[in-house]
Amino acid sequence: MKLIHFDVINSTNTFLKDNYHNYQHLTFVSADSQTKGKGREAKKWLSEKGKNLLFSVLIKNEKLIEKYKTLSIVCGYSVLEVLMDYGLSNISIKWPNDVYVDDKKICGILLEAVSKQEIECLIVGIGINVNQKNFEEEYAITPTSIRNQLGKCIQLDKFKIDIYSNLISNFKLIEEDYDFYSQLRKYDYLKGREVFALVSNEKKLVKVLGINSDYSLSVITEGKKIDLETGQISFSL
Amino acid sequence: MKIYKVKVNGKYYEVEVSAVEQVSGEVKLQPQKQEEIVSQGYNVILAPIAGKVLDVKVKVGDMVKKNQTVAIIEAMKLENEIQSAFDGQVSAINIKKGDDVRNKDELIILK
Repeated sequence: MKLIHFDVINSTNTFLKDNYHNYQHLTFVSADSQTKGKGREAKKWLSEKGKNLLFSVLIKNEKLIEKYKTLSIVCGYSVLEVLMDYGLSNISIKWPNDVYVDDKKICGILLEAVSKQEIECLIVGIGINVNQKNFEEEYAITPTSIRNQLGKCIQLDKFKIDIYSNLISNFKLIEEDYDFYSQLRKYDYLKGREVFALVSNEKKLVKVLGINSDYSLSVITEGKKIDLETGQISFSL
Repeated sequence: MKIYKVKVNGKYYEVEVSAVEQVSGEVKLQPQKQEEIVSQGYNVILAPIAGKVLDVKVKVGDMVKKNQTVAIIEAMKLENEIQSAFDGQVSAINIKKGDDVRNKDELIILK
């Protein structure tokens, strides 16, 4: 394991994507602030300097790469477990891997991969709102933070180590084919909800049945049951 | 059976021709197999996972360097940058933004 920290960087994910060949498996790169923090499909990830946990971890283990679907959702579940240890409640996973408290987003996760003919590495980018109190920008989903949920700030350095440790433990369990599904399905945010989803490039209203054991999302739309593996989920009004 | 003398590229051949029924038909071009494409000096960039094409970064005729990102495929919030393993010129692009692809689908062909 290698730990790297920047005061400010463009993006921890971009740093690892550009330099993955120079670093080993389980290199963690964190930053107090990002100038070009990003989410899915080039969306921005915004964060007040020094208030939150922003980091990326490099995955070069073949088995973890092969099990990227499990890895993706277990990263969310790993964050959920630590948040529970810190006293937060009503935490859930919004498929495929965001972490919510009530109906508010507390953690976003972006997986990126670099491939030539095969996937050469995965980069897991995780942003967790820790001590930020105010969220000034306009957000599609209302954000929250540990500070806002507990009413007090926590020690960011200790929280970082707790998150890193739990990720490493759970990565080992993934390699050992541990059954996470039976645990994390209890925290399925979308289960039973009606949402809009992209189905074959069309936005459709779907009823979510729940996360499947292969981590696809089972939904019903127009009377048919289908399993989603890609695409945006947005909420119905 | 009739025998004809046929001149091809300046050389004469004796050709036997039988009368047959005239039938209509069509010739369908079979897509070349990947092995045939590679053996003719082309390189094929394959999809490493099933997913949706988020972006295609090149167009036909572009020169591509090894390690250059040519496309991005997304699945389960995994955004996969597809880098070329070869230098070459883009000869064919089999995908566009929004397409669904399967694992090992041929994305881009370089010559």
